Amino acid sequence: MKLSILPKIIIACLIVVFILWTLTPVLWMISLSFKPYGEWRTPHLLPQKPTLDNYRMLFTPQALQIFIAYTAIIEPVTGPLTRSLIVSIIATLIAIIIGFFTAYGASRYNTPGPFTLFFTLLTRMLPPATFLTPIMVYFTTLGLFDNIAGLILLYSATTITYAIWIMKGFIDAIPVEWEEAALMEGAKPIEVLFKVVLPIARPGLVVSGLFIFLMAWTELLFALVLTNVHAVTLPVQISKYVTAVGALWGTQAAIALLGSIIPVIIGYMIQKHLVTGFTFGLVRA
Amino acid sequence: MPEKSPRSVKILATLPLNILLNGVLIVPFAIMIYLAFAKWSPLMGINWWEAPFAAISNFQRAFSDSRFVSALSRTALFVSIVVPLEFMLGLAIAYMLQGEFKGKKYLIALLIYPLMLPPVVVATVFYLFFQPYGPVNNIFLYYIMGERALNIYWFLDPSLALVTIIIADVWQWTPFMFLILYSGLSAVPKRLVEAAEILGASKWRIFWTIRLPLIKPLILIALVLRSLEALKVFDYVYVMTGGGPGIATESISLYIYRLAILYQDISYAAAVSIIVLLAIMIISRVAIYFFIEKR
Amino acid sequence: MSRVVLRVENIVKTFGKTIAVNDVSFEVYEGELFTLLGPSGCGKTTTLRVIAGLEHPDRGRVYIDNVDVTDLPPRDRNVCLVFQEYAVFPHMSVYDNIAFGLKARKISKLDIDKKVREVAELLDLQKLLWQKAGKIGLSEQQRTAIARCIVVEPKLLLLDEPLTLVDAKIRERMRRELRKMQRDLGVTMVFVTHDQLEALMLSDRIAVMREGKLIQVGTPQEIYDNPINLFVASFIGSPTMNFLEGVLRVVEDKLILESDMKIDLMRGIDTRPYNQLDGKKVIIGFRPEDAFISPEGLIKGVVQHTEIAGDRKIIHVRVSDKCSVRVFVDLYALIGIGDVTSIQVNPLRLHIFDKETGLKLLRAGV
Repeated sequence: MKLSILPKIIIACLIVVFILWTLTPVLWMISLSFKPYGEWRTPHLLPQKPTLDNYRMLFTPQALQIFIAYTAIIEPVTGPLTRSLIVSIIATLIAIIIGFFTAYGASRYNTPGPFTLFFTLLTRMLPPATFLTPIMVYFTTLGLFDNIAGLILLYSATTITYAIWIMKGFIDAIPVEWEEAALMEGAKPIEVLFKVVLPIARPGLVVSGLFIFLMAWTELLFALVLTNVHAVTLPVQISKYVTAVGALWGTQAAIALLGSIIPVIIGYMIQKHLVTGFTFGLVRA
Repeated sequence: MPEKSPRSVKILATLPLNILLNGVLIVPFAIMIYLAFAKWSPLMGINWWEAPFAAISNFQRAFSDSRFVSALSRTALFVSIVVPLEFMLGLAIAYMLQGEFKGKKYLIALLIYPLMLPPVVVATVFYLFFQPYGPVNNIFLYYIMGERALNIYWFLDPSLALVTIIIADVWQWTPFMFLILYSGLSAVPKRLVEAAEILGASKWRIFWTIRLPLIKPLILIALVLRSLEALKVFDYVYVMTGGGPGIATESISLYIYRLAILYQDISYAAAVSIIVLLAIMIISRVAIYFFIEKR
Repeated sequence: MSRVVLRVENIVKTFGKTIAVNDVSFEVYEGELFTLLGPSGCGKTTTLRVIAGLEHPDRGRVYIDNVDVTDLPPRDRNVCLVFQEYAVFPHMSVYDNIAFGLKARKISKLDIDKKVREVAELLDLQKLLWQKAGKIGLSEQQRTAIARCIVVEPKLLLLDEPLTLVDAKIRERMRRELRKMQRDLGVTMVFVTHDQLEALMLSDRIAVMREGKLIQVGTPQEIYDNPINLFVASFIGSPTMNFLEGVLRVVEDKLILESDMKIDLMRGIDTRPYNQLDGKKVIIGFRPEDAFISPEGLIKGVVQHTEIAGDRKIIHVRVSDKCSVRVFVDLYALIGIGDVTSIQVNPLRLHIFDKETGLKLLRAGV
């Protein structure tokens, strides 16, 4: 009887190890973000003299020049932050609105057909780097370079597949009878869509919307390509702190933390649906 | 529902989508094909639609481009290490979390947060983590190796740099594997597990002979999706190692990015992109045939 | 004489606020087919699961072969359960399903093969051995589930409503096959069902349950002839027993029921055993098959309705405003709606129940 406790103890230990593994990197980052310059290289887990300097520097990047002569960061973090918000929100709205209509058509009438649907999957499955080149050329020609409109359009196009697949899953689950009943009572198809389906499908809209927001907020590659000075989004800014600025560890930790708050909040709002999102609605937890 | 879609719905369901996709993605795709067969760079001083025809010279160049080949093989190696690792770790954790216990929901909520972080942030975190005076050197290895630990420069050694990227990816995406496997395993009908219990099977045996086989399709989806995602790896490489030391950790996405942005070698970048696209599509086709045959 | 294989003592099991099993105790002898019978929600399935070890009782003990197994997991109890939905492993072949329990026991491959084939032969599954269990028909799945259990030679075979999901036409045949198999193998079986006909047909003994409590245990004959209370009387038997409500009166040599009318129940009898019941509020019960039309019949009424029941007819007779009874008559009897008729009840088969408690007070003629 006693022997059967041993595996349980081992498992408990392993789980603890895994918990530590999961928590440590971020805990270190949080602690680092509050450490003053002198403590960045110390092995202490907690800052001896916690400070908000790292965060302050994010808002007044001129202060960075204490450390390095030249800095590629010329704007406070509020700029990229707001831009990321705007881009993500608008892109999400476009994606879920168009996605909703498409999902409804696909679910009830098979228009667009499975071929188109599969094609939308491709936009997400193929490496974005592979169409980065023409996008850059195309957008520049259209004047959408370094312009948040460009990012908004691009993000809507590349995330709409999530909206379609996730919402199709939700709509498929709604009994068709309700719409048929409404149609028989003389309602027009559009009315049925807005008055019968939309209210019930709202959770689907919320879930896919939040998930798409997450995807748009965290996107780096295209943001790097399509922005320069005016349209810099938060992920780009974060990367600049590491690649262009050098060994400003505390500040890097600070901005990384800042950029994580919103995604983590959203992530926990939809935690039950994360798997559904990442698998395009194929797996419904 | 009536077979034919009413016109209004049909328009709503297809027109906006078509405008968006065609306008934003399809047109550039056509441009990419054009560019791949032309020779153009913004440094040439002419507009891209005025670029001279270059036949297949870009493609020929790609096949003898050792940097391209090594980027491809390195990315493939990366995927073949990272995905199995994440799968096994995720499976192990799903196995360990099988029983009911207090606070299980909170534990799971805690374990999945890496998925929610922007990859840039994860990259930054591990960049800080593997600094010479970062915790990996300064704390963990210090206890094992003493002073020598401070001389390990993770990002300056080709293999070690790759290891850091692997660790970053595994750290962020193991919870994904875990979640899929865990939700699949939980969905196995309780009756079957009870039947197996009564017949005398141990928890271990039930896991391997009943639960796992029943979630095979799920496992497949998880592996395929994760592999496709891993192929795209960019954020970690860009932020943590910059492809270095030298080009030792340059993934295919980073290489294309550099071709286009750094070297401004647009038409070649386009050609390389097309080759990669074709390669992925062919491999997926082969994989699909392979799996359909298995059924 | 017969060994006690299973003893269940004072089992109590609650789920949240519901008491599913409320102080249930009984014994099962070796080689018998013991049935837990009752309507849905009476706790029979929960009791079965407690015996199997899938649920742990809040109170009470379970003894198998005189060993206290209450705290043991299912795998250590040497029992097997066939689920209502069969629960065959769909991704495995029938062979692997049957072999599953054996494989867990470290028996040699040769032995396993021999045993699996033997049992498969017994249940007519030889031809299906290599089919995927998820793809075969329901009745084959059930046989696979049973085979899977028999092959590990358990001390107790537990079945949870195995015939509920089966087509009505095949049910008859399967019942007989199940009973035959149980007899041939001599395996002790605990059977759960809500179908009283099935229970009467198959069982050596029946335990009638209701709302978590054990009401009566006995052979089918005992339960049928001598139901301990109103519930058992009404639950067992098809068509259902007739019930007449009223106050019992003993007048001279007659037994009379006063409801909205005076109904003569018996005449010319020794009324001494009934004197203590005089004036009591009772419910009288008798089965349709224990009454017949007769000119000397004491219960008079008008025929309301006739229906055909197999090889006989049932007539519904209105005795008073509140009372209506059913009686069997010959298929060709010349009785029709509106006829005035009189009914004679077999005095040995008249049951008297206390109106409040429902308990049997007396069986007439005893």
